[in-house]
Amino acid sequence: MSSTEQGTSSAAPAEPTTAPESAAAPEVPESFYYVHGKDKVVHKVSAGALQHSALIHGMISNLGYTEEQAKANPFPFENIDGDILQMVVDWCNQHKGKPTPPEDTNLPKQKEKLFDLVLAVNYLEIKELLTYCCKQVAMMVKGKSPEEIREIWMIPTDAEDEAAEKEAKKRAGKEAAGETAAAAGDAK
Amino acid sequence: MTNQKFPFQRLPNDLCSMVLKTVDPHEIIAYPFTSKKALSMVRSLHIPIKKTKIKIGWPSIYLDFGESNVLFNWKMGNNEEGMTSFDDIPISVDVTTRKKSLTFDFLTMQFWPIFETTSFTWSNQEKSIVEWVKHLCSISRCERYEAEFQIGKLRFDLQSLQDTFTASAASFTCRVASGDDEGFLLSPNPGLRF
Repeated sequence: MSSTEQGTSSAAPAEPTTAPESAAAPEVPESFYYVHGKDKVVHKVSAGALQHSALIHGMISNLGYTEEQAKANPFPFENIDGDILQMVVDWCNQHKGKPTPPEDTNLPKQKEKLFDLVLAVNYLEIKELLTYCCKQVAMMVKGKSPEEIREIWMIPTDAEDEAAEKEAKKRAGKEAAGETAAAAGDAK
Repeated sequence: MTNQKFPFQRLPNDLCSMVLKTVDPHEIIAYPFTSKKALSMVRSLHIPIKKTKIKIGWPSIYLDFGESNVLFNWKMGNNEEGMTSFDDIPISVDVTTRKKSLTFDFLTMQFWPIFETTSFTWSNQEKSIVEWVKHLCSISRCERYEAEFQIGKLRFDLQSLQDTFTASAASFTCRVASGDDEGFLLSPNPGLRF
């Protein structure tokens, strides 16, 4: 609850940019934060752009970093590839303080990155971009037959699903047996 | 055919559901044909279907989703042949979708409905008519089922037809368009209306 209140107050400095006629009001300097992905390349992003991400926005609100502290401690997202994080940062910058249009043409078109992008956007909780990514995935099968959907979405057959399930059970059984043996060894 | 590939089922289930909720009805119907896992996922979405209408004889099934509807016409042969039993396997399936949207007319200052119709041809999915009906009716629970018979001298067991739809249907109406209807009054189920 408190994080929401803080989030609302931190959105206040962005207001003058959406209302240029109030130029007489003193301009509040924009604060910046830093994020890095798996490749450790640090991206400087404004607080306004980061508001798209509920996860990062929550982290900022809870940590109450100064700009110096933020620079010294970039938010690490080790589970996100550097190029994917770059795409997300670019999108957040392009849509800073703006609502997302229903058909967003600013998203990179590399479909081979779409899977990683969807996972990253879901993790970072960027609702509007996630909705758009899901639409992109849906568009891949527009007007397709069951056979085409199977091919495009790489759907395993029932036999493949069953084999994978058996394999997973076998692996889980082995892991459980290993843990039991380790626990017994510790007890001795 | 596109070269685009996407490992859809590797997405978390909530994301798969999000994607499926944005696809058109005939695509969401196509997806469960790909695997049991896909069927189970689509069932969990509880897609509302207002009305399901099946025609026996020259078989077809119409699924009404409200703002859009999908009609499956099973082609039994190259010469407009009808079906002879529920176990017949069609040669192909014509799928027609009709989507309703509203457009604003500035002259009359009113909204008017416009309809976009698209047609596709699917393979028979190696399923007989009864398997198709069972599959389509298993995707989601429908409130109202209607069956129309255009059968000439053919006879069908109504009980098996009702079982094929669903025993829990709120409404199931049968109408005999022509021919000998004697065989259609066999079902003792009070849920059936004639």
